[in-house]
Amino acid sequence: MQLNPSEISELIKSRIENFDSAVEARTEGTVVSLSDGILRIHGLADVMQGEMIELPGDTFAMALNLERDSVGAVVMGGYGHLSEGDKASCTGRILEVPIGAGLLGRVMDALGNPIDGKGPIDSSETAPIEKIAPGVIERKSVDQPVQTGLKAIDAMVPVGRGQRELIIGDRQTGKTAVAIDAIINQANSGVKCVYVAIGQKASTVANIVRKLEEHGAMEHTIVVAASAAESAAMQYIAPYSGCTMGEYFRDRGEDALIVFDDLTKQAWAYRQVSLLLRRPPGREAYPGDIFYLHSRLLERASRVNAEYVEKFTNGEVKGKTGSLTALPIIETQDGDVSAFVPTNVISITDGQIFLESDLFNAGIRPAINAGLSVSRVGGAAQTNIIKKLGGSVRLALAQYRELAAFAQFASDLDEITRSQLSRGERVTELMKQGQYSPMSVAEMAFSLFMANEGYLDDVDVSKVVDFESAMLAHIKSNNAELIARIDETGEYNDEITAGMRAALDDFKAKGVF
Amino acid sequence: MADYTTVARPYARAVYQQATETSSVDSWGQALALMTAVANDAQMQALLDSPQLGHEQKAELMLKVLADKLTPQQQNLVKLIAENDRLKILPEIAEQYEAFRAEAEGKIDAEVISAFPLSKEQEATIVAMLKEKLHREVSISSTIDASLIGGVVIKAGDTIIDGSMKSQLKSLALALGR
Repeated sequence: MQLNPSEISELIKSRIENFDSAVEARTEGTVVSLSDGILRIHGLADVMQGEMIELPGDTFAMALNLERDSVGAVVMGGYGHLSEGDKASCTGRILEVPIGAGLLGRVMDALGNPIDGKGPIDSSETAPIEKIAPGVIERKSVDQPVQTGLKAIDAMVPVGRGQRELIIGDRQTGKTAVAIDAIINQANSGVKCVYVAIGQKASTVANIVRKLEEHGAMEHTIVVAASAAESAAMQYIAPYSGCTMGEYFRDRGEDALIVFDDLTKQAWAYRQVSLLLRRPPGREAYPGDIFYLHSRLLERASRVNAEYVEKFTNGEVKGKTGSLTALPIIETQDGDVSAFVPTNVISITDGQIFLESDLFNAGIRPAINAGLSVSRVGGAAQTNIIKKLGGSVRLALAQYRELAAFAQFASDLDEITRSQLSRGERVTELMKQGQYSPMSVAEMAFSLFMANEGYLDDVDVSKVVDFESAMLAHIKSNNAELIARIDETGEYNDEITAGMRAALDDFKAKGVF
Repeated sequence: MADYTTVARPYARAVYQQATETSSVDSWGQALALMTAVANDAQMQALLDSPQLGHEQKAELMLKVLADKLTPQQQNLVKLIAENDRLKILPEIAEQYEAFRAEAEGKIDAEVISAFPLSKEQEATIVAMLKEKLHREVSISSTIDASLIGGVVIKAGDTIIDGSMKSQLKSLALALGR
């Protein structure tokens, strides 16, 4: 039999010495009924909304319905050992999860218990999973970018620190891939990441964790997983747990990014819990507070000002703003964005990245629909150079879409139309990007600059991808200084333009692709 | 039992108000206890559950057994409850009636469970402490449960004060296992 590291005699001795054995008065009730993980408890006069209720066998439940003579609660985890007549007692605590930097690199369930087999979690602090979002006075507007490393997103739908940007699309359109790429790209940006998997296959979660490890992204990432096999209650609370873990960084003047994958399944889980608690069903059988379910969660993603951080840390961290950026994911059925939950979440968030299966199947990946994707606040946060160069890319694509439909019928096209069509085709091609290969600001700038300045016009459409990668390789080996400068400052001026032009001319003259 | 709480409450409250207005709290208390005893009788229960009898017949049956012991108002209560087909909740009504009474009189029953028999002084200390904590007149009943190892567990209504060795060992085990 093996000993745990926590079983050293000295440790045990000190814990016994410091063991707090205060006698507490608490209220106790009796389980009246138990069905599908829903408990009805008689008694418990002092219970609070959302309080943890202790049950036999080290099991906990969360009080959700406080009625006159009974309390409706959901069991967290298995309930096979519970039965009618069991005693249930109040704990006086709202559901809490561990927080702290020690969680980075770990995989946890919705209650903060480690499930990656790497031993206990190194964390001394806990925080309640439900917290009120920062108020108006405590906030600061979004003005710093989160670089996702994806050209199409950073150029056309930029995401700022503290923004909520929805990723929406049908199944199999690359929603998770976009989010994972964004996490991988935070390796050197100092942004901590939280990935919350809700109602997914455990194998999918394991794959994602492996991919993150392969790309060295696990070191700055916390994974919270409530897989499809776990109870609806766990799936319902998982995003809140993840959000609390992310808020730890926000409140201490750091930047964090949280991905909710996906909120559709959380809404399903909450619908199940609500219906079992016999709350009245509304549209699509969702309960009346389904909007609040998501709005209170996404409201917690925010950018807070330096005063808030200073006050929160009791003056330990000064002059630093904090942020929590959220990338919620919503899965639509057959592209129907006007269903109940998608419209709700679209209205809550600061923009959406719309992924389409038609584009995906046509090989345009990430399959971003440039017309329907918007970012309402990200523009203010975009890097100067990408903002300048990205504008014309967006325009070129918009013009191309308009003309492409029309041009199918017309055989005789004038010179300008033809050039717009060919530019559009090449830009569409240029926006393709492989998975797990995020680009730096400078690389992106070169690609966009190349399209804007017409360097691609004489390149065959099918060669655009090869041309780009050859160009980037060439520039990286010959113009390292310029790249470093763009990456560092992100500014755009005549000098840099001239430098980029010279580098590209050089590549066109000498390069092979 | 717990399912009937909500249904029984209006009856218990009405009875208690009636009793205080006519200053017959004791008499009503006895009457309700009597009704409960009758309703809980196995033979009686079989009859009360029988679908063949109408509610008038059930009320008559109850009253035949109890007739000479009840005042006209108390007889009316039986009829009313029978009419609403709620004879089953009589025990719950009686219980809640007693709760209202205890509340109004500032009394509470506490159950003290200990590992060893308590001395008179110990009981007196517990009563005095509970009185201070709950702001009520406390009457205690003691039981012995050797599995507690040591200490006492006090149950007063929903409130549990668990000062037993058993629960402290349990939380120590939990703290060490963490």
